[in-house]
Amino acid sequence: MDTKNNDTLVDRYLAAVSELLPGRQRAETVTEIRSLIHDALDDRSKAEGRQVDGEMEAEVLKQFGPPEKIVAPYLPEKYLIGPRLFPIFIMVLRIALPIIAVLALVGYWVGIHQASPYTGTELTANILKSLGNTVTSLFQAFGNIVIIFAILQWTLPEFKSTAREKAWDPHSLKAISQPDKIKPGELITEIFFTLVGLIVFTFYADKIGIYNNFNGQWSFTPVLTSAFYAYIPWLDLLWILTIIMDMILLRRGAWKTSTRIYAIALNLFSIGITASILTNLQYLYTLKGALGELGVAGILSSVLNQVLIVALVITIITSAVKIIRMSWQLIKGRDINLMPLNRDGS
Amino acid sequence: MENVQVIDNLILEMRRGVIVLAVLSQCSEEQYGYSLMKSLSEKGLEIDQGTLYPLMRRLETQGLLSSNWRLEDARPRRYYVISPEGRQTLPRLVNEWESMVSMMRRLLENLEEKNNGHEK
Repeated sequence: MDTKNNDTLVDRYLAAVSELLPGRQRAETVTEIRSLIHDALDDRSKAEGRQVDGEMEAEVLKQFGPPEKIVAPYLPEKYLIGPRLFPIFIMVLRIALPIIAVLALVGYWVGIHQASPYTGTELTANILKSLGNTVTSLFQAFGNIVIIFAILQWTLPEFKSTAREKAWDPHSLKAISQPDKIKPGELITEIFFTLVGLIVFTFYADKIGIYNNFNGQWSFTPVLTSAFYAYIPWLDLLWILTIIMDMILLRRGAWKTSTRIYAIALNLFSIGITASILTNLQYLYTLKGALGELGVAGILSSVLNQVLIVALVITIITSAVKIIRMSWQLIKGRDINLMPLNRDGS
Repeated sequence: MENVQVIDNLILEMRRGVIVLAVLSQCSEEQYGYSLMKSLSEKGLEIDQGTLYPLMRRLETQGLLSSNWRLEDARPRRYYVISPEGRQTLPRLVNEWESMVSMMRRLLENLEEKNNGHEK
């Protein structure tokens, strides 16, 4: 150890302590700790009947502990995200990150698909690039959420939490959710509308279009193109499988592992079809001849396109959320099954 | 087998609860940090320096102790003494302490009776 310098171990210790303290309390706290160390040294010197030296300083400083330890109690506890906000932070992450991941993947996938044809190698490289970009988007989103919560932590006055705690009423507690329980009303409604969609698109797709009455004469312009008709068998399959699942659920009266796996597969299938429709949207319908110039190049065509894109993206997000929820229930269900329900283990 | 670490932590937590009362009770006359630590140690209460000194600062911030710096042997020392507010608070804390002691005694007597019953 370098002992040639004039500074003692105590000086070095106090310099290290000083670096760890905030400016406004540095001078006073360092003076106080210096005074305490010298008191301890004096006491030891008297007890041992010898002068204070480097060895004695080391022994006393060892008792005081490392600078970080002696400084810690002088500093208030600080959090980037405190215990009050942390559960909300986790909840927001759980909701936001999967949605951002799906949106980013679909966005990049659509971008790849819409560009000119690729070779196999280029396609693989683009897929890998899109996965990399998705991970980057997730990190950015995570960072932004952390920053927002850190700002909330610094700016939200503590009394707000206290006031909320005082106003808290046990009756406001949420009823315990029963994830296995089905809602027959929802299932019947879904069966009805799915059946309507199935019939309309299978048997009357050519009747979907714009009906105009001009001078008492009705005219009809179909909007679905032949490219859309290629999707109908896939849509039929999706809807038939949906109706089968709903009927199984109605019959069983509750979600089981098998129906959850079925639902996950069905939603993955739905995401695939919806993403494909989203990618080829511009080729699937036309307003040409239906609304004159307004339909072809006007604002209406552009607005309709945007509305359809938003609707399809919402459908993808909804399916993704369902997959996450189903997967979570599958994992959770396994844990619950390991625990006995009653005291007798039944 | 006893978990020594857990027991040590439990004892430490119990001791923490009495430190404020112990410090206030010893500050009727001016004390500097080290002298107070020695005084408490001589009476059987060992307190870590890292706990005692920041506690005295906190008690001063709360208005229960007051302090002043004095130069002794060319060295500044911070002396603490109980403040008027601290003097008013101390009897209330002592009363609370006494009622806790009697309550705990009742609870532990009950425990002793049960243990004796098991032994018989």
